[in-house]
Amino acid sequence: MNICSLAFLACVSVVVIVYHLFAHARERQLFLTTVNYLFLSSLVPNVQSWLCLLFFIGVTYAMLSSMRARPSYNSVLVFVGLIVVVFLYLKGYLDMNEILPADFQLGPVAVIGLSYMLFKFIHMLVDLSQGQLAAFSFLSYANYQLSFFTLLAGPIQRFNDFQRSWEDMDAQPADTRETLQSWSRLLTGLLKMGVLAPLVEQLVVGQDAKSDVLQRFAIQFYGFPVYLYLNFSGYTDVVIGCGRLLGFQLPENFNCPYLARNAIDFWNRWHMTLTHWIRDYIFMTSYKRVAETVPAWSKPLGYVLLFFSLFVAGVWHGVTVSFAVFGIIHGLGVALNQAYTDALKAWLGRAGLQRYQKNCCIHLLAVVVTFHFVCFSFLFFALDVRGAWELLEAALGQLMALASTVEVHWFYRASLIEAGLVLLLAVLRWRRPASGGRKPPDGPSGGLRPPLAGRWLYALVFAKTALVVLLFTAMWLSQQKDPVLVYMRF
Amino acid sequence: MPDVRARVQDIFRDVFDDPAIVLRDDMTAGDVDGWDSLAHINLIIAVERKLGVKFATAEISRMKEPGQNAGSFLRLIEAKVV
Amino acid sequence: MCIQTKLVRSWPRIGPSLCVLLTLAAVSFLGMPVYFLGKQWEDERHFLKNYRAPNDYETQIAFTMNYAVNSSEKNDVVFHGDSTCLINLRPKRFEELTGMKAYNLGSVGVIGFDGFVWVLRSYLEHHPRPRALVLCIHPRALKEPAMGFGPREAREPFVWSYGPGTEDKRPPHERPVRDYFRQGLWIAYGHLTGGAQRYANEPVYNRQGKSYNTLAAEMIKERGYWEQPGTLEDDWRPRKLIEEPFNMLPGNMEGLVELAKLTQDNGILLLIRIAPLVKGDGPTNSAALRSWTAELEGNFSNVIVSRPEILHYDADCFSDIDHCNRKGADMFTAFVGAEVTKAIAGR
Repeated sequence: MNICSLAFLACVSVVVIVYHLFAHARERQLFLTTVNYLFLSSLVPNVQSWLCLLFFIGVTYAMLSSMRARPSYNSVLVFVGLIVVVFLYLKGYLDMNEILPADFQLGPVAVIGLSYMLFKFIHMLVDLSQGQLAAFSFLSYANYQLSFFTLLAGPIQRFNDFQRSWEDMDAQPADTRETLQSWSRLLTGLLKMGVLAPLVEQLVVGQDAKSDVLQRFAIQFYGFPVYLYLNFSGYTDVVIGCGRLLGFQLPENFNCPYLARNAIDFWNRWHMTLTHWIRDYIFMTSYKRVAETVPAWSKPLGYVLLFFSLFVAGVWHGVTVSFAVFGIIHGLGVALNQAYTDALKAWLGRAGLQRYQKNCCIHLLAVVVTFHFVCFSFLFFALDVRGAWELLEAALGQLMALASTVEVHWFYRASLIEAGLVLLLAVLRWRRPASGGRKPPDGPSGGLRPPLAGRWLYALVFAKTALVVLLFTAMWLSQQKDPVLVYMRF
Repeated sequence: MPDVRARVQDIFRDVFDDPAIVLRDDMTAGDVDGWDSLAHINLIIAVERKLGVKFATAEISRMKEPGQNAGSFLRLIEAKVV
Repeated sequence: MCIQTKLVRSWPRIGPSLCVLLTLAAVSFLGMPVYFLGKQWEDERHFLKNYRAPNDYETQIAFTMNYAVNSSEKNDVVFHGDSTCLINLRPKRFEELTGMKAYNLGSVGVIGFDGFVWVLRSYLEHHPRPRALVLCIHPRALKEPAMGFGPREAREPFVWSYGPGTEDKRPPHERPVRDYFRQGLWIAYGHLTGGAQRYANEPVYNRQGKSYNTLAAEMIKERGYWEQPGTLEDDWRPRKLIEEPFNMLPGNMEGLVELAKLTQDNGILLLIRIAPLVKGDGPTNSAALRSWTAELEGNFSNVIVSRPEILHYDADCFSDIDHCNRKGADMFTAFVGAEVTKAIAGR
């Protein structure tokens, strides 16, 4: 079932109604298990894929049970190593068909959300080895891994948070306003993912190869990041809304990423749950070990580890040259960002650095530069290396040629428009609280404006539902292909 | 525990190289200059070494969540020291 | 706990969800008549749409079928075939030359050989049988499928509306619900904006701004002939239309055999005449065609293949690479007139 469809919307409303008609937590758990199974059934294409999925869940549960009985750091390393091999094999990155017997050779399989399941498993394994994990059963573990609102592309929820909601099963008295806000968020997500994102995608993908190269470049350069944000953040809004309707508080994944002032800030706002996972289980773990072992080298090695962590984030998207380049760009960006900050602190001192960071002109410039840095990196996300390079080369060539003319070309006019947009963004940014990971995330206002009265919220939800239905119907009638979640393939 | 609070405050001053830091319960990462991920780990290592405690990955990560502050950090340390 | 108590307790969660579900249900409910409207329109086998002017293909097919079904006129000779028949044969000129009353039932190649059979069958159900049927077709029509001569949107509705009427001839739908729903919306729009009568007065595509009604009047006046004025551009390129070995498409052969059988069963002389080509276009040697034409004449006593199989006219007789202008049409009509007269006299 496509998560961005009216059928999904109808199913969610039925699921929420039926779910809340069950009085006992156990009944709700079993009902949710059934719903998760049915949703999964619509995605698993064949028996072999089912077997792979069950194998993965079974093996990881066995490893967790073993860790629960005898926690050990060495076991963590062994289990992680083994499951990574299994993961690489199931994803098709590791061809073992020559060494495996015929009965075990892999045919065409599609295991949705495998990389997200891997992250969740590793987090559980590490936390369990350190006595930080809540009690779990096979039922709660299976539902944690396969819940329909995190299966496709996250957010990567921590098990303890899931377990709390799983045990509670939304037994606390609920607020109509909160429910309406969750619905509003879900519907906004559908509009972003199902209407806005395809419109932008059409603009980016439907470019005529014979059109002006600068125009093609500008549309690809600015359009794809917008499309990707609408697509992925729209999905996140949908699943967070779903989760909240069933009493599950999912973590946020986005926080105005294109208003980031540097590469590190960007990754604290874009796909936040992935960033936090990499920060906690790769970067912090490795840096702590380095800082304890060789404290004299901790600073330079810290930069290397920052680079490595973001490189991993890049190649996680796909084992291709273009994603490796994407990872290298962001690895370098983050490492250099940290080095730059340290250098500034050494040069300006603490007070000077504070003044520097609070300077609004510098902030504005930083946001513009970071946005363009991100757009540049996304060229390698959307295109292969050769395609991106050819487009860049052609665009730069034309730009150089134009720079020698005095005529005000449309590109310069577009630059003026862009500067205006950036100024507008700066004004909007200025009205929001300061950054530092404590900004209210995308979604409910979080107290920034007075809450809408109940009946107005009802009206808003009704209006959004009608809008979603009308626009989805219009797009369906115009034979648009169904919106696809980009991050589902990672 | 005043002893723990004082020792943690000294560690903060040492790690962030700012003798003017005064630990408050409502203090967060945004209130201390340079409290980024690298500095956070350095702080954790210093607390572990000087107070003889060990933090789990989840505990380190939880400290960075919204709603966590120096007060919750101190309570965690005090629970481990006891 | 009874349902009522559960509802009351969970109302803060259920209420808004019910609001969303009811909105969805209401829109679906309102959408259902639209779906059924679209489905019913197709079930009733309408050919022309009620929400836009017909295009050139639809116009031509509709004229032909209109005459076949809604008239009962007696004709001595009927011209039948694709657009080369429609544009290259003038019934009024034929009458002047031969004294025989004729009508041009030609339409477009996209209806295919099976379509020629259905048109003729409809004609014979409503008209006295003619003495002769002249089947005029382009050489490409022998080797290529019908779909190669026009859009799918012209052929599939034609097959459904005027074909044998079996369910397998229904236009295929990749997504039936969507297609019927969309069709229903358009039909509803058409009803609201005046229907087919209004759109019959709007310009038809590729017909010099003339409406369906205007064209219908002109066609009636010219007894089914449609003049394509103009002259061939100088930059035309010759084509290889008939190559050795020549193989007629099996489906087309089946249609032609059925046509031969239908005419034979009704005692109608069938004269097969390939349309003229521009001098320099296609082969001069028509040996490749002889084997199957001879076979056809051998199997059906009422079939005559007009020879020479390939006729070449000067470029100034053509308005485009495939169709004659008035000058070419008159020349070709005269040739066909002589052929028909000879054939009928020989029976």
